[in-house]
Amino acid sequence: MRNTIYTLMFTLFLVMSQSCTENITVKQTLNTKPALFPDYDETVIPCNIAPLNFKILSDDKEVAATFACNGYTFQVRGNGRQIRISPSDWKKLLEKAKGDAVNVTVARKKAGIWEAYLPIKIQVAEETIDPYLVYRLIEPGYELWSEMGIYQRNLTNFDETPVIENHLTGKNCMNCHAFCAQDPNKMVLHMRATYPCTILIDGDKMEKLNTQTEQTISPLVYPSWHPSGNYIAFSVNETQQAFHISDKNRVEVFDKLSDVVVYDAGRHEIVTSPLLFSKTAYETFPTFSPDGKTLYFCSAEAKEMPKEFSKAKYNLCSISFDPATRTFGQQVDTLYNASGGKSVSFPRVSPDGRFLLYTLSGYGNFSIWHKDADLYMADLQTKKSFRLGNACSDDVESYHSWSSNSHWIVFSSRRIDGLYTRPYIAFIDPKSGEASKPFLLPQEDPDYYERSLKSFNIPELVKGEIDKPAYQIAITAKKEPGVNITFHK
Amino acid sequence: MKKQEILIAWATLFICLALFFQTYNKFHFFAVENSQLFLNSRDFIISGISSVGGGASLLSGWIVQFFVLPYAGAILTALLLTLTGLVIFRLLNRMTRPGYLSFVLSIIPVLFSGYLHFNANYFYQGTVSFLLVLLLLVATIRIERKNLRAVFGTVLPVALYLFAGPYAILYAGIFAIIEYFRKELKPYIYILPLVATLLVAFLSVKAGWVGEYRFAFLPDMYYHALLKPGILLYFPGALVIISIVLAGMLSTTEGKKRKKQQTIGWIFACVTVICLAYYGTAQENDRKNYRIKTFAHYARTGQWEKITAACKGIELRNYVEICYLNMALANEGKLAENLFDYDQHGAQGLVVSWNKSPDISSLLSAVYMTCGHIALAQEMAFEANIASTGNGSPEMYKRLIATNRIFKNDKVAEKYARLLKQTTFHADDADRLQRTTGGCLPDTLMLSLSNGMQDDLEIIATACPEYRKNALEYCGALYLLSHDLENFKHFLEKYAGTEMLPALPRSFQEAVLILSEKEPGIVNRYPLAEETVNRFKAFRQTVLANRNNSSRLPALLKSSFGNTYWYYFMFN
Repeated sequence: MRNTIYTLMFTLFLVMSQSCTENITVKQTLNTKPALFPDYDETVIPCNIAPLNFKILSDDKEVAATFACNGYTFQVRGNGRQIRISPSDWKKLLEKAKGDAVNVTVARKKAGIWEAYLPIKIQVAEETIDPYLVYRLIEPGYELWSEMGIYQRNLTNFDETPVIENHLTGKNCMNCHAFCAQDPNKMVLHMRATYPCTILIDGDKMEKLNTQTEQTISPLVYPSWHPSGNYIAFSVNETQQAFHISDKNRVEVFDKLSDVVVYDAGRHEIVTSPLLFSKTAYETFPTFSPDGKTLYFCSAEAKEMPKEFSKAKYNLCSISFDPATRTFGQQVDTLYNASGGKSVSFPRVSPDGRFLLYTLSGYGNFSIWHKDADLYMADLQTKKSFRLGNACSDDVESYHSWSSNSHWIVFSSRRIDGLYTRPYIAFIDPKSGEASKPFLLPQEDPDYYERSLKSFNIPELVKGEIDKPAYQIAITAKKEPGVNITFHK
Repeated sequence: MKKQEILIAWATLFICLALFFQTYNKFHFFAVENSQLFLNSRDFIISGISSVGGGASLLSGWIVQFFVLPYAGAILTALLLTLTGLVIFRLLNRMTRPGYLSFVLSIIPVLFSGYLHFNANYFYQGTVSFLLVLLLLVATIRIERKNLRAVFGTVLPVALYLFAGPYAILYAGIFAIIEYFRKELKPYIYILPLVATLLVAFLSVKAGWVGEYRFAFLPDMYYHALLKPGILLYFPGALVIISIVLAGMLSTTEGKKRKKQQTIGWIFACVTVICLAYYGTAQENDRKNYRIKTFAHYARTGQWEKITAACKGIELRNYVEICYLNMALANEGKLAENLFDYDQHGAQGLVVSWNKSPDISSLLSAVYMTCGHIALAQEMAFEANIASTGNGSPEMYKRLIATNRIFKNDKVAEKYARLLKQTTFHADDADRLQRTTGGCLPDTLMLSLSNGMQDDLEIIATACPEYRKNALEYCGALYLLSHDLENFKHFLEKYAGTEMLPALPRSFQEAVLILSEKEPGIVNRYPLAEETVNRFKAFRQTVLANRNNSSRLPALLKSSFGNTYWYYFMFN
């Protein structure tokens, strides 16, 4: 009996090894390109990205793919309809393909004959992307939440580790993680509901901040670090949400009040200007320029909410900031005037200071729920602004961030199914600011996104791994009394 | 005890437990099934098993999925509990001679465990873990070779901790107690499993796998994470430990001393039985919710007539029960006709306030669906799913498929359908819902509830003929139950006699007659049934005749007019 089993196992091994090493000889070429998920055709990818595993959207039972560039070739036999690439082969391929294109030829076996689809092309940029992407995973819920966490994904492979998960902190809400110049050792994040606070990590130092003051309408909300690391601009918002009776946008999130303040990390104080703290206007989404001398923000005339929710249109504004004296300029410049047009949200300046990426949608500031939300780029040299046509889709494109070398952006989009936000990465032409066709963050299992019931929120690129243990963050939030910040008058 | 006696005793216990659960708790098991989703997929299993206690959680999920079948919840739970008792009995018998005391000591933890199954916040995972841990403990102590037993005793609880959670500490603790009485292993060897398991538990917290020490060291892991469990949760484990210690003491003594210890054992058994009875009555709160669980099951399965029948002539305890009743009436097409045939206490009986719990969220989702407010039905389904403790609710996923189909968000509907198709019992429904067409949405850029529920219902009724009847009846009933006759009058002026509301249902006619007290001409504007008009005259006469007898008036009117809006208007 035992011998029979061994014989069977050996035969199976031989058959398997035979099938794994069989060369695919294409006898026929088809006139179409294969339909793939994710669609990587004509995309531009960084030379340090994880393997772009994909699946073939056809009924073909047996498939394979040949990857070729500059004389380096390898084949991958399909696992069902999935093509999963060996990390070592992929790494060698990217090394050879820097600045060039990889040809991917997908073939199917039909009636014993291999037929090849037309090859797809993937351009490999010489520029690398920051190795880590930090995001929050949460159900795209409305008022309630269950399990959520902030995670970091190593973009050079498929490793994803939690920065902090809410089962460590009484299932509370955690959000708005932000980094100083893509530095993983300088970050803030908020916790809400149970253990409400802001956690500030600066190297080995970890601080719990209690950020509600008598003078501000809420605890600190949307953050943006000053490049010096000494300040963080925040909005304070009184936010509400409501469901549309029948609109395709499902939910409307709107501010009833909002202002912008700057937190001085050394003195635990917040400072502001009447130009950022007006009762007749909503100011929100602050972001510092890379030189730290300008603060960009969105501003709209206050409306009667929620009645006039569709009339709130946000301008893109800026004000000068002097970090030495913590003072603001006396004048607000308007870079995009929303009157009669669209509404701006999430301005983000490229680290080299050349471009400003923002979202435009029909109205309001919470463009994450607006299907017409698209990405726009402002060239800060020429002052011209244009839609990133290659990056946009018919569905929501919203939150975005830059890589530290200004060559890559990552943004969230609901284009796959209209509900769950997924991170897309696009190359930015350093001269024109135009985006390449974006690619979906690759996953080891190409079915991951189909299965996942969590949205990717606030994708932020960082230059390395966050090494603070989740337990330490949780303990700081739970046990520390925290520093009460004050409002500097 | 003889073998036959043992067999009969355990078989009797199983039958009694099954009958007890089927009689008193069958709707709870349906509710448990509806609060979790078990998927027959590799990824689901891998992701489930990768958390501390995830193995037992998966195993319990696999068992609970069968609760959708009639009798399955009661039978499977009785079986698990009987097996647990049997395993404890075997444990005790390894230490002392089998006897009636061993039997009684074995069933007491089981009965305490049984009570936990009346608590909606207790996870079935706890019962599965308890059985698993005790089963492996029996297997371990049966190993005769002491070195091998020591190895198993050390490795197993660590692995068990990862698979089943903190009950593994119970394994290590009982192993140490048994080995202490057995005197075959050195103390540092039989203490080692306990130390190792406690260390793993400690490290689980430090590594961020488990959120708090109480989840790592206590059975709190088997209870709703945001709630503090009562002391009952700790009883089954504690009782097993005490029973083992008692059995161990009995095994080492003979003669008078043994008799004395046996008496202590019986006293202990009696005290715990008294505690059991006390905790039995303490479960009254959960019993109060049982009617809601019953109605929820009937609503899920469309047995509306059972809800209305159950509510006939009884006093309803809370808005949730009334909400189920009114939804049942609407689904039977007689909300406004028969509204006051039942106990009504205000507008919240139509749309209860949202308390963010999964139960209320799923009830509200069903209510909004009934009156055609698809957006809010979808929102509440989503919230119910998020708030549920076990991967979402099959019923709510079905609602999400249905509402997303109406919104023409087919890709999202497909995503949820794909999920349900991986279940054993809900795949067909997913398939059916995915193919369902129809549904209607008003064409408006307006936020829900921005001008109140009634405004939304009027918009829906105007735009969507298929929801018109329920939307208008809910709208009118909301005015009536909140005594808002001024707006009810505007409502009538807008819709009564039009194709939207061609005939007035009984409660609306009754309200017209109240309006006629101030505006007599109104009765000529709307067709009213002669019987209703005559009844109102009789009601009026009774009120006038007893105007000086205000204390007796309510009782006097209740018998003849308790099922009218006039009575509700005067006394609610």
